[in-house]
Amino acid sequence: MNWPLFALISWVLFGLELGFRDALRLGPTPIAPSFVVPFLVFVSISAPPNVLRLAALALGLITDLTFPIELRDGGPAATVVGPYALGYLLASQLVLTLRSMMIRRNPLTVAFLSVLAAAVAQIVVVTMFTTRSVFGDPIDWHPTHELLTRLASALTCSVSGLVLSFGLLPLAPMLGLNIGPARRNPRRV
Amino acid sequence: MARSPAKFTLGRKALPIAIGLLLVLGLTPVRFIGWIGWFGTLTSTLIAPISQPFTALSRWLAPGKTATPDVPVVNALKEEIENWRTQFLREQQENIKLQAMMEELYRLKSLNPDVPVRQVTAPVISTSSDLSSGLLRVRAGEHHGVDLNTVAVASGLQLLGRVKSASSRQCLVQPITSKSAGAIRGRVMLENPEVHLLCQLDPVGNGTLRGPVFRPERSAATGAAVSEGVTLDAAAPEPAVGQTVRLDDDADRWPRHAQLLIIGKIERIDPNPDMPLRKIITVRPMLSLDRVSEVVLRIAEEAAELSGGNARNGKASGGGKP
Repeated sequence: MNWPLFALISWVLFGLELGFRDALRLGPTPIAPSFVVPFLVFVSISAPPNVLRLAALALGLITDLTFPIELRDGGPAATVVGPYALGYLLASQLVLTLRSMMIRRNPLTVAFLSVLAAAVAQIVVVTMFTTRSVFGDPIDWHPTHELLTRLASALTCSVSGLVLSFGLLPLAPMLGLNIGPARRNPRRV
Repeated sequence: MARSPAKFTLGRKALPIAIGLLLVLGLTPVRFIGWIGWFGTLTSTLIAPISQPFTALSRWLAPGKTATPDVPVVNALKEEIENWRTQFLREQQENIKLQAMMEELYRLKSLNPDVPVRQVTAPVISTSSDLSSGLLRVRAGEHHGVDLNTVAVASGLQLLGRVKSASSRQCLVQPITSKSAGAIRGRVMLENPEVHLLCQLDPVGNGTLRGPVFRPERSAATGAAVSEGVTLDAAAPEPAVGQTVRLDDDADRWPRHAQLLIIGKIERIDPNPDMPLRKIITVRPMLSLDRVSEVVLRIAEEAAELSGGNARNGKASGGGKP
């Protein structure tokens, strides 16, 4: 994979994630589409397994590092590494398993798999933070509410996945990714 | 374009080791992993050049709106706007805007004139990658005298929140409407300035704060209001929708220079089902606090001198942008 280009695209998408995502949220809820998950899915449907795992860990780590957590006791904000890194890793494994059954060139594939990948990643995140709160970490965490809002966010990833796929699919050759052969004869002669 | 070979891959042993490490770090109690925050700041610094334009764009597309439009107030404001329009030429608009900003900042400083406060205006550069966190990353840090619990205000007198973490160039501000921000005590401003009500407000999570109203109990010796309240009785003044609520909390929780900053306006009043004489008010800030594009950090001069030390070197003196 072309890692410098991967880094550049990730940089732009994280800029969108941190700067623009909250403008897309549904009312006062934290339900909003992710820009990073569709990119993760795009890499996962076309990269070799070892490469996509590394990419998933990298994207997850950056997401973890840019997620300051508010503490309940009024203490300073904390950063936890792990939940998103593991979540994205598991999500990429899911995409890896399903990709043989998918039409990789189709934007709808990215949209559909983004929903599944985001849901899996968020389940991992909720599980880890729930475990933390059970063991006494001072975080304001309501597992059911968090799970429901995050699954709703996962659903909205279909929109961002569909939109981003039109920009990402043409970049596949430059990224050194294989999204399958192009259709040579679209019309039957 | 030629495909570059996959040079960086995870080895057979590296993946289980990475997963194990992430599991351990992911479940280690927060008090032991404070050092990770440094990497978080570094990552945010690297992303800031691209996230800040997107943040500015998102604030421009969906700015923080004034909540609960009150018809008479809106009408008065419209009249005022018309007056301004007729009074000034279009070429003077930029000057008017700057003048208004100066006046606003002057008013802010004159709230507590005896407490020396330095103000630093700084832009919001990003939010969190996970929207469950309401923290705002602001481009001002210890280098500018910002410290833990520095008070942040938005658009003049509107209280925004407190700094929860500060690095040399950035800080994280927790809005008062964030669910984890905790309770805050306010004063309901009534028409008669000698009479006021207190309220204990908790953030709801939808941009409002909610809590019971009570009458300040008077100290027998001094006549001064003391912190513990008593419930409203029949003779006590009633809170009304549209009244302003200002900060009136303990000095050890909120510094003196932050007292009487605006928390918001009363949006709704409900009876307390458990205590019929005690009303519950819902207060909405004048702005959507999670949508502000710029904040003013109020730094007490003594604190700034203590924390700034060698880092400042007079560079950030005055209320300029960092």
